[in-house]
Amino acid sequence: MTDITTDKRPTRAARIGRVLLELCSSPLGAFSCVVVAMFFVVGLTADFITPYDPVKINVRDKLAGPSWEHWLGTDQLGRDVFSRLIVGTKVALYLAITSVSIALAIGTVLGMLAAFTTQWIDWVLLLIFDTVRSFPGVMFALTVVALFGPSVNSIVVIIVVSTFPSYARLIRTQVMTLRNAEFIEAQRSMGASLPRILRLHILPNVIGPALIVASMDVPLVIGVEAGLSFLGLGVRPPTPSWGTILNDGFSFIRNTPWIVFAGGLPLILTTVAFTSLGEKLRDILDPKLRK
Amino acid sequence: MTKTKHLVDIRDLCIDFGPVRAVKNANMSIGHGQIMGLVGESGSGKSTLANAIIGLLPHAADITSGTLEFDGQDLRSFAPGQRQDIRGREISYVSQDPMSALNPSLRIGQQMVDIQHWSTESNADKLQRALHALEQVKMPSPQARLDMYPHELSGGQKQRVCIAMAIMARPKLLIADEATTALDATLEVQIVKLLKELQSDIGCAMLFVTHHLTVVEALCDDVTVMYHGDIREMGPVRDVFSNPSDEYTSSLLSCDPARIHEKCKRLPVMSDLSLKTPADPEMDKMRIDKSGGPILSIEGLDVTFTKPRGLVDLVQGRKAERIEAVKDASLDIAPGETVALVGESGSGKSTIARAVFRLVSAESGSVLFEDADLLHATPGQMRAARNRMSMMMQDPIGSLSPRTTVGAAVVEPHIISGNSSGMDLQDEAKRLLELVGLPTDFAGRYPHELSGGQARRVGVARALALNPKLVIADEPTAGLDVSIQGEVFNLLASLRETLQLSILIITHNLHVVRHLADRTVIMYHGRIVESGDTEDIINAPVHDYTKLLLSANLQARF
Amino acid sequence: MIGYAIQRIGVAFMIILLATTTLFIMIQFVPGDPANVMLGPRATPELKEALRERLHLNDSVFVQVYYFFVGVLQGDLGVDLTSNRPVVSILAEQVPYTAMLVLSILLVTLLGIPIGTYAAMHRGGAFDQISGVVAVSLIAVPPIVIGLYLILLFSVQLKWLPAIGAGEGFGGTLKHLILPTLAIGLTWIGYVSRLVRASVIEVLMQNHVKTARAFGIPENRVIRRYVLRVALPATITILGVSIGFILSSAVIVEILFARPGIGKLAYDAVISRNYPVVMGTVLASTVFIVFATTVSDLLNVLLDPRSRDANS
Repeated sequence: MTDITTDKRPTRAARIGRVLLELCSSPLGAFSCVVVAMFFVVGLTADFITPYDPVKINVRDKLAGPSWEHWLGTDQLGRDVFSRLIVGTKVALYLAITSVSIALAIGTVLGMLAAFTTQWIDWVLLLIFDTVRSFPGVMFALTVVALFGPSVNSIVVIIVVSTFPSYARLIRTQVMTLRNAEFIEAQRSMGASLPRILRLHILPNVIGPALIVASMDVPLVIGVEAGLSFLGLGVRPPTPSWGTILNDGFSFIRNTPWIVFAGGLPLILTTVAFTSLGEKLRDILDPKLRK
Repeated sequence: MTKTKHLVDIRDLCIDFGPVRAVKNANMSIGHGQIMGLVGESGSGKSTLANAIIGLLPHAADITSGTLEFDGQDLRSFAPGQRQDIRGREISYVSQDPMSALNPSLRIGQQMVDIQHWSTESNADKLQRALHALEQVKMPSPQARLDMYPHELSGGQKQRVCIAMAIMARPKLLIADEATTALDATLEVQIVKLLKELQSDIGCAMLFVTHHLTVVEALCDDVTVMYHGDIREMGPVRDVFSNPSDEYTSSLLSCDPARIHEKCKRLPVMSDLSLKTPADPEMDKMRIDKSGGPILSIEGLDVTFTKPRGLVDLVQGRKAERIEAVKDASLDIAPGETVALVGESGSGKSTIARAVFRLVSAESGSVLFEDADLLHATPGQMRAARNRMSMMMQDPIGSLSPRTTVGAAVVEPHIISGNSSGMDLQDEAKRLLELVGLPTDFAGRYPHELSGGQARRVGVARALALNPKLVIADEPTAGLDVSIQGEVFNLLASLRETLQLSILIITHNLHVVRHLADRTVIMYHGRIVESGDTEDIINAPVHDYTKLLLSANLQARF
Repeated sequence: MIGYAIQRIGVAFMIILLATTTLFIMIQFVPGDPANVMLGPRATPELKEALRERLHLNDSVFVQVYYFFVGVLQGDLGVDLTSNRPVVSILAEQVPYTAMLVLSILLVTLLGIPIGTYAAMHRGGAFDQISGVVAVSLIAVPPIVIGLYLILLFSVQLKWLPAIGAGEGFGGTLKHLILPTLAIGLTWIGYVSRLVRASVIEVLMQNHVKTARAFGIPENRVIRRYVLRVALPATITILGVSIGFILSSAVIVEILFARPGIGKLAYDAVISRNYPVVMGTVLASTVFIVFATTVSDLLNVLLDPRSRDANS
């Protein structure tokens, strides 16, 4: 077995290479790849690359405009906006990775369960998925914050609960179509066990679209953080996050509009990059659209 | 504009899909009122040529040179608007797949009125004409059909609607693109008969695109043979079929299982016509071991499906709706014997195979395999049985897991059966690929990188991995071109000799079966209506349905 | 069809029941005593106890849920703990503002249909590519960021449009609606145009469209009757399911633009632990979302003859 699977590796690497090459062949695709890569790099190294201490208060320089010292100016406490944005990436990256992967994992398990179980359990799970989806997300968010207090982890809970049903539904639909596919029937005719079929023949074929949706959910995560922190219900000051920076800037929008302007830029860049990356990947990987 | 002798005149026509030339310097002419058959295998460019005449080439395709004249007019010089005026009025079109050819969200009547956009009559008059056309195509209760949606009609009825739409304007040319391919044989006969009647009523010319040589012989006046974008031969059907001048045409004709009337042990293939060898009845008898009991014995099998229930049904505890797929089916296979289970779509023939492997659960009856009752077998007994029998699914590519390499796929039965420890699986994969005549470097390929014929061979290799005694093959040649059918047939025929296999072939295609099967069982509406020696059934059918199926399948009497 | 409708409506009620109960239970765990909120910290224990008794606060959660729904059936959602006014009349005041905003967003969203259709018809052309990039960007950027930039541009820089409040009179109301509507609506124009484009492309490749063209039916008629008629019902369903997102972003945008509405109401209520108002707003918005999904689902079934029969 091992020897045969090693045959596969070069082709798989070649395939990933080909996809990357195809991605970067269009300007938008190349832009998305670069921004997404930067998001990860900056998020991981944020603490080492800031020109100023992002939480150091310097009242003398408060609300200064963009200059050579402070590229994006300073806020009402004289903190360097550029440094704060860089450190804010850390929060965004943490949220994106944890909440999306937890939601994806829960959704995948429940979706496969719903597709491969009795009609009753399927119906109960569907009802739960639909209930969560019909729940006004903001109301839920407000309650969670009231319950656990505003924190990064509250945001994770909010995002996981409100997004896992869409993964579960997607996986369920896909598994249902695959369930009666001939290659699955062939496996069953050979006597393959359900765990083996799920692991080797169903999961690899359904996880691709879910991963693409996951990459397109990163903007949602960033949006929720920005929204909640903007309302004062998200990340607590003085920790810099993209949402708190917007919140700080909004109070002075008439006099020093550049803080809001600059604070919005990383949000726009990353959300657009993740969404178009997802779209491009879908175009490239979806065999229906390839032809 | 001068009146030419031909209705359609194509000279040196080239059609390119980007860098690929799909049609190369094609020359073809169709006379007024003539029926032209356009034959070729998949990818030969025949549909592209037909689409060029009606002006519906895909965006990626371009006519790069040549002339295309219709009724003395140069179609290539026409503006798109002018082409549109001709379409549906002078040239009409019946498409390949009747199931998807109609708009699912408009009533039949509305669609038939819509296509009369060239007429200034009132809607009532248009509906009247639609009704008349439905009567012409012998649609049962035509008035009621006008108010129906497409999904309320059967496949055959939909195709009748499509034909009614095509003849309403009394066109000069009717193009039928594989119009009968998706239909069952008995239905195909009716539709071809209908097309011929209508064609002579209206006096239009017809271009009949197909890969089905028997239909061409029965229906057409002239025939054009295409291969890889080239027109290899054109002429009257009688001349071309009896005395082909082109090598490809003659190979194609001699390889078509439908045109080989004596029972064969090996069928000719495109690359080697000399393979053809007549059957040896003595050898066939020796192959079958009638001394002991049957290897597989199915007795009184009933399979019933239940429709899935919605939440309301579940809450109310409503009984699920039941569909009887197989009713009281009995069938025996002796060791070494090949039995064909023949029936049309929905007859329940595949369900029998699936019940044997417990992919569907049977309601009553028994399935004895080597004296073990599979319907009540323990998991252990079932595992033992699966090591001695295997199944090949219908779709050659679709039955292989898309993300598993060929090499990993063919040895899967070993891993699933739990007997793979200490085995060199790579060597085993090589052995199996060699067994079915595939190069060993195919082990690294993925299913989508295979052709239909290659994927079928991989399926055969996987089915033979555990050296089984019984193989159930669901439509082993369906969806394959005529030239590949012979290769798959020969592979199965030689394997059953060397490996002493019993085979159950499930098919609607009597042509291949008659060469391979010792016995044939005919199924109709979930019941077995006739069974016996294949030659006896073909020569002296008893049941009415068998007679109908045979006349549709084997004889070209339309 | 009627059976299916009954089933759908039944499920809708179950969802409302389930969602409201869940939230009700969650709120019980929020620290803080409503009696304190109402009476202030200096009220006597007897007074507090009397109030708790009146509000059934001493009973178990499920008894409270029961009383809540009994009240709902009688049109009684309790009273605002701070102002002592009935929650129903507070909702009646605030809901129209939110409803107006959601309605105007939906209207703007319709623009996505022609954009998506045109892009699909000229797939790969300049319009398709440009509208594609713009749409993807609009979908990606969170409404709050779009809203902030709209304020920066139209209120701070150009001073054309107001950034705060709901305005008075017809003209004022309309003027105050523009920026909040765009803050959310732009995203949805992009989303709908992508959805419509994808399903139109899919339908364009279907065989029945080729048949229609083969009979020379004029192209605009083909698009109208043979493409959009098949492509749009599915889009309507997806939109219906997504209406919760519109409402959620509406809440945030209401606060950003300091507009009255149930967003502001819920926000203030949660911050001040004003239970009855929280429950009232949740019930109102859940009913609205479930209503929208159910209607769009039934509409889809009504428009698509295949599912109409399959579900009858």
